[in-house]
Amino acid sequence: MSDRSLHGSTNTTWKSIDELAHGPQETGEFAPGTTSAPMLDSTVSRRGFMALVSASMALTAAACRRPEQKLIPTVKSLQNATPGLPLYYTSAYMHRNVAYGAVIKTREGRPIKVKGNELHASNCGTASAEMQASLLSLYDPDRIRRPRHGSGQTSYDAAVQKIADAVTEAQGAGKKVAIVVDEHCSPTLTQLLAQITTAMPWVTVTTMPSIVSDNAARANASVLGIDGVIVPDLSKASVIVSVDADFLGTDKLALHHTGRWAARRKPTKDSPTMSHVTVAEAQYSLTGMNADARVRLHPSQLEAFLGALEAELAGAAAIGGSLAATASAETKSAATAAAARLRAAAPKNEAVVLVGEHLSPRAHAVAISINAALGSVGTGKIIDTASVLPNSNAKGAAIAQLRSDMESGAVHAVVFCDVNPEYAADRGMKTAMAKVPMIAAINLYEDETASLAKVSIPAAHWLESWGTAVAFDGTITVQQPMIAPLCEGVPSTPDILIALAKKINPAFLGEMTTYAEFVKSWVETSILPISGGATWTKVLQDGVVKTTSVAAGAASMNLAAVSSLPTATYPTGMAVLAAPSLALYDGKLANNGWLQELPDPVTKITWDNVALISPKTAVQLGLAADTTPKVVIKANEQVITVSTASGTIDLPVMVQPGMADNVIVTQLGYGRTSTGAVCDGVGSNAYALGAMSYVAPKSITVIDGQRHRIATTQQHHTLDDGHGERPVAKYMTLGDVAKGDFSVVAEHFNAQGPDGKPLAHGEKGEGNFLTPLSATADYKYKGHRWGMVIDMSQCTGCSSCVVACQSENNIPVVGKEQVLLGREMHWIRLDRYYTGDMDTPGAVVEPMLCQHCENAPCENVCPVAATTHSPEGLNEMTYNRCVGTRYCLNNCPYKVRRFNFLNYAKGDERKPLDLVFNPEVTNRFRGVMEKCTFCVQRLHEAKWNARDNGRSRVLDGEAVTACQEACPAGAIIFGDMNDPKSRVSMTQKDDRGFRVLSDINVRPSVTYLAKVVNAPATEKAAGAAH
Amino acid sequence: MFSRRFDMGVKVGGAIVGAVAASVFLIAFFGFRNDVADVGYRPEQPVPFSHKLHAGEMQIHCQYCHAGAEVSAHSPVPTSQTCMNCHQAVTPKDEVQEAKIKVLKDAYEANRPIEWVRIHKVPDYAHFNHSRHIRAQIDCQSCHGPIEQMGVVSQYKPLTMGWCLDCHRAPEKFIVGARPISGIFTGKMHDMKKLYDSAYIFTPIPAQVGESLPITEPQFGSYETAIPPVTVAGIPHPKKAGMGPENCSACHY
Repeated sequence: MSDRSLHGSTNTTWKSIDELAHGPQETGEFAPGTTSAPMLDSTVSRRGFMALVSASMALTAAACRRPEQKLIPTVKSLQNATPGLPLYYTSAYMHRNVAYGAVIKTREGRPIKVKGNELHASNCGTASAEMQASLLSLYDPDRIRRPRHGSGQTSYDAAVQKIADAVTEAQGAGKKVAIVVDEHCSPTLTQLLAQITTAMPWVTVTTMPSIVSDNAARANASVLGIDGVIVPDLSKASVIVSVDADFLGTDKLALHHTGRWAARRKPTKDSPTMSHVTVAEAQYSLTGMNADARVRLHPSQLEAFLGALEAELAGAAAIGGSLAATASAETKSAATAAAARLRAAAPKNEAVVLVGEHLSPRAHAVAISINAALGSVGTGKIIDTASVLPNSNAKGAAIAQLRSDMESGAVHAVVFCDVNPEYAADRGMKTAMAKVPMIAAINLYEDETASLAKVSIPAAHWLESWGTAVAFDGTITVQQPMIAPLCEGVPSTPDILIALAKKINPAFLGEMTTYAEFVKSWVETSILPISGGATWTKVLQDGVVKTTSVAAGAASMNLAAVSSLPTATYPTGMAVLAAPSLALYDGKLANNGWLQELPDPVTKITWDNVALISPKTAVQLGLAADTTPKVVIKANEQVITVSTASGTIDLPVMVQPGMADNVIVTQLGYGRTSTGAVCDGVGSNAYALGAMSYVAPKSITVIDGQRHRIATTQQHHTLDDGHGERPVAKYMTLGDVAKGDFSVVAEHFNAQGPDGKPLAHGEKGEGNFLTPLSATADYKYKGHRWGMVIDMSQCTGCSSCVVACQSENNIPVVGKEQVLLGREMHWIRLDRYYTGDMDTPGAVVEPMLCQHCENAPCENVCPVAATTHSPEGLNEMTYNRCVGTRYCLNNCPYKVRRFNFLNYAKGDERKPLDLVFNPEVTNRFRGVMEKCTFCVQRLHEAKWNARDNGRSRVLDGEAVTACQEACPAGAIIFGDMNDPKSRVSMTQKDDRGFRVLSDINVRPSVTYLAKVVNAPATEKAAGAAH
Repeated sequence: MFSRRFDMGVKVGGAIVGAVAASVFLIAFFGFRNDVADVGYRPEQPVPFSHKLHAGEMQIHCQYCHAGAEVSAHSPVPTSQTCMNCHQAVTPKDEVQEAKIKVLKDAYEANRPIEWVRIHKVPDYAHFNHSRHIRAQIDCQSCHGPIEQMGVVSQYKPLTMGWCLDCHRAPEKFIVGARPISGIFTGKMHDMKKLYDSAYIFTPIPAQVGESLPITEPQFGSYETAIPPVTVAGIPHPKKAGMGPENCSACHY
């Protein structure tokens, strides 16, 4: 085995600490779980099996008649709907208070896919994992079906009447009624709530998000006079310094930022330029994983880093002196390096500093001061004061007011609309809530808060209701219902509020009775006149409408106000941070199998939240004897009890490379207790520790002898990289690109030129193989030949593609037990490779899917020809021919084939969950192999469309795979490799292009472009090949 | 205990009995179990609808009722409203007819869908698309038989994979070219005079089979150039009907 030392060769990667400890999986040829006997979900003995067989033989004679099937047409013909054809509608997805444009694909009246709306500037046709997975929640069997009063079911009308009675009682007693809503960006909901409070002055409205972070809004209010969060435009930034801001990961705007960030990450030999990202952070975030320079800081040094940065850049005008005072020598030198880069980009106004939303208001003010000094604040600059996130004002004061009102008994009734404070709020709020005589909840689920409520009313899902959303740039989007509420007669939350107000004051809203009318009249009276001639139909058709009014006034800067802003005190010793989860965010969609099983892009953990700690912290906590990989992995899966001032929870430990020492990071959104079958009992509720702020733990104790299995996929499906001899995930530096040194991506074995002679190292030639063996040497791909290019320099690991594929191809959720056996079913996975050492690792994310090899090893070994090659270069999988030998799986060098060990699809057959399936894709049964098909159903559709338009070929860009469609970074390009002008053919020739494991001569159809890190050229030892 | 010969006899005899039992089982299982290839399957329908009367005598085009087959994978069964388009005006000839139509009218008025019994079904795990075949000018009769002569519809062709492939390999041997009654535009206008000659309706014209090329073979110069679409009566139609694809993922995905 070659030396796997941490500072070994230039292109060495490792997947986990386990791998550093034990080398690549020493499990033999086959991965665990792939060869073990299928665990049958029935307990039929051999004798019983024989009995069943003979019985079924006897029955065969009787069963020779085919079962009668019915064809049931509708009574009335439907407008626009042809059975078998999809219809697309526009809508709006609100990720809390961030608006994204959505296009929903419906079949026979049911939504089956959520994708982005290309006309919406926030997401430009792409979609996040959560946005796409919210479709599954629509059909969730655990949603509430009937309104409840006390312990019995009631009618919708009676339930609303009960709340109305309480509101009237409150008026009589001179007490308040509180309506509590989640963060939203709906102008009509804001207006409706305002009208309710005007009509009934004793009703108050409070916005209470699960994760409250007012720091940026407070700083902006004092310094710029804008009470809200400003959205930076990262496409204008060439140098970004992030201080604990996870703008590509857990930030609400990550989908928006990813595309704009990725636009500047495409260096070529001719124009070797790309943005530079410095991340100073305590955890190892998705943004940190994609950083060019990463500064690992203890939380107490984060703001000091910012202060030191300001001292360098703003000079005498610096306002963050108090922050800079505590900076250590290393922090200062890191800040000097970052400041030098910022300064270089400042003349073009292309430098920006971003600050994590959990840092103190004063830190945010200092960031404004730095950005102002860099010339990045102003109209048309990176920080444009006109781009304010809607409803992002500071909310802490209003929430505190509500709590004190509840505590003092001034609140007679609370209506919680789609919020869950019993789960997410602190202890003080829960105590206050207990004093309210009447709690009502309007929610999708009977969650922790709804269980407390006297009256619980089911709410409609966003795909079932009307609404509006406004983006930070003023784009208005109308949310259209795609389907009538699945629970019959259930109106949307605003509809319930209208009905409630009408019970108390029948004259409320006059003639209007539904929210749909309210939305339409608002658009017609307030938006259409300033939209430059749009009509209601046009607004619905496009999904977006730009308004001509510009509301933004020029902001005046008042840096002197900084002294009034509070600073934060960070623990100097151990610090605990509960951060939003990359998959679940705040936990609202926790009962969603697609999100629960989505591996965290950094840790690769599914179905759990854990305590992430650095190796040194593991030693310090007594979980491991020292920090050598072999020893420190023993800390994994041990359980610790973490106590802070606000609460105590148990967490399993996972040692995470790259973390700052003395920091424990865990994820929010887990530990639900009474919401649904999927999420209950998964993980622990980290809100108990205090959400999104570094807190000092009261105590951390190791529970002796207790272990908790963590289902991480980081060691699953490992490609054989020849013990580090042939790199699988290749990366280079910008210096290499500028120098034209692409030796990293050269074929590992000597390639052969057209003359048959071996090429010199690094030289690229036509024939790439010394022995150009081909299974089908004479075969010419006359028509299309499908291929893909994946740019690893743009891929951040956001995991949109994984959910997009799951939704498009009916991929089942298998559950934690099966993931532990290595049996997750995702057709596309994101292999995350670490580079460098355990303390300051870099990372390369390599999306891995079926490579559709020309010399496919899986095809040769299939005894029943269930996997074959198509004339268009696809590696086809015929499910009904597969007998489940799993030879193909074991022979696949990329480990992309997935076997249905159990009837996984059965789990999704719970009604109405079966409605989520894409009817164009077969559902696979137990014992069948499956894998990526390059979305062959979409290719058929594209070809049919071409034929119908009199073309013999699909034009470039007409055939789009689901992963490509969702990718916010545009890292996936798909098309016809036979068309010399297609994007895929052009980008394939990129100097950074390589094919994974090309030396085994399987000739994959997927080309990867090596990741580029913005760093000086790699120094190479003379004569070293790799 | 037993002689070698006897022992051998038992073994051979056992093998023969086993082989016979297995073949009987296989023949019984696959020969009689007709999930798909059930030619002649002729279930009773809830409404005694006659294709012979409607398509044959009245010459109503197939796609008047089965609208959408030219654009969709499915050939939809008409809604009750489609039936009522005529039947709210058409008066029944006699009491027998009136009784038949009453079933329809009652269901329509009660807003109750009619549960037709499915006759044609391709095997599971295969995707069949009506519109692709119709646009290749393949007449309904090719697969469904002379529906316009059937009082009660029965299955006419086996609809097995082998049967599909026979046509995909040698379409000219099996395909019935498009006829006006099917509502399929053939690219060649029919003689309008002959159209009213009912005998002509049943006379198939030869199918126009294109050159045997993969569906994506370039036919006109550089394939980046879009060939202007040819549409007749709103239905885009191909220049040539090509061969059907034969690779697995054409139907299985």
